[in-house]
Amino acid sequence: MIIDQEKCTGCEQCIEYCPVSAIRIDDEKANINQDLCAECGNCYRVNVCPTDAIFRNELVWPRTIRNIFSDPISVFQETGVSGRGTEESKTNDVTNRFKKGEVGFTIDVGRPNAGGVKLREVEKICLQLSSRLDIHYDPNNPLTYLMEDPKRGKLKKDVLDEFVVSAIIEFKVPLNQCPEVVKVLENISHHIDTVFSIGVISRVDEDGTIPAAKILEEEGLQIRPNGKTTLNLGRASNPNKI
Amino acid sequence: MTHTLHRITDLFGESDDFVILCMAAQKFNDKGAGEKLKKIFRLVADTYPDNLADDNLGGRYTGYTDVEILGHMGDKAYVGAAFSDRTHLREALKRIKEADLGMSVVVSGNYKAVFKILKEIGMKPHTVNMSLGIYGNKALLPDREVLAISTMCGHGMVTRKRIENIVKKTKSGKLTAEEGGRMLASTCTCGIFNPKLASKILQRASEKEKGER
Repeated sequence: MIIDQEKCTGCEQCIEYCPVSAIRIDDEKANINQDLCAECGNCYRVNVCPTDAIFRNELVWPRTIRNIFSDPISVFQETGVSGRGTEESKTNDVTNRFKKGEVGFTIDVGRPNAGGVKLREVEKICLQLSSRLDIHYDPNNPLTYLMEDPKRGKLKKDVLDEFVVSAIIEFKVPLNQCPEVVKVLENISHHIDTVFSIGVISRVDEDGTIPAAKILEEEGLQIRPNGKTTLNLGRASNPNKI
Repeated sequence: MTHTLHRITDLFGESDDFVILCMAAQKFNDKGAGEKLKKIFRLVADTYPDNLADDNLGGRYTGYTDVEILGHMGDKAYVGAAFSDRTHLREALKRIKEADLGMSVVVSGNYKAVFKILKEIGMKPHTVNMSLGIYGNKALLPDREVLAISTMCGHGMVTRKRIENIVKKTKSGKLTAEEGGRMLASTCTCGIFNPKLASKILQRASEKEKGER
């Protein structure tokens, strides 16, 4: 994002809309720090500028990553899914991505409100996970596309300094490995300069029992009382999927 | 996307904060999904949601009318709706179930409450995504009231600075809590931000300030 210095009146109205505090006033004009801008487009979308001084500049690789990860309206063309992640468990009633006996993880790095995160910081978590466990990152997740070595959780060198509002690490493991993953994540949490939120995906048994919840609670881990529940209403209908 | 998963909803005990998301599974049932999702949008619109949107465009609080949103919806549409009333949520789910359109439906909120509602209308949960909370350098986080508001937009588009400014204006009486809640909802394109709950938090912040004086 860019602010046209000729048009800007320095009214400061745009500043509070930036989730990563990239907009500053220099010489009585608002300026966007290009290192910090995550290209989320919030300042532009809210239409708050009285002189239309804010505009989107054309992005080139690897800066395009910032927009894919940070702008909620941006669609990752390879999967057709908007936002930073995949459909994860939301369409599991149709896709059966997460089967009984499996547990999915969604690790939201930089969330909530950490003021943005460099992919270098995200890589630290992936490297640590892969060094301890046999992790198969979700091939449909935009972050996995950026890995030069998914077995090691290593990202391509040219994307490491890209700055995003947040990024999601997604993978699944057998049910019994679930506590081990959380232990590794707990350990990493003391060595990173950001925050992350952990999501654990599990199928629900016929009697309403959640197998992963049972295992995690036995390990003394606390599950928050609210989360996401996918209902059993979807069905495949595309000709090749019926 | 996990944008409705990590909401901080316990400021008022067991809070009534629910979100419905409806979508097609890409490559499985996306062909012709647009019309089905439009039907769902209309059904939900009639059950008094506190917010409603297609997250590929925006919603009622980002400056679009229902007609404009419907006109934009295609096969990749994501219907998002926020509720703070269990009766309305139950009615919305009942209508979606009866319409039997084959789209995936997700409900975010307190599991016990959601499972109870599902049982009442003869439905079963299929899969859950559970939150284990926040890890890492928590010193980077804002206070709990700001966090409770900001986590209603998991994409981070309701910013800390904006919330702090609205809290300040509400406390000083420049804005009512209702006005503040609506203004905060204006940057969440997904329709999952609940302006009514935000107003309640702003009200609480103002009363706390008065109590401390």
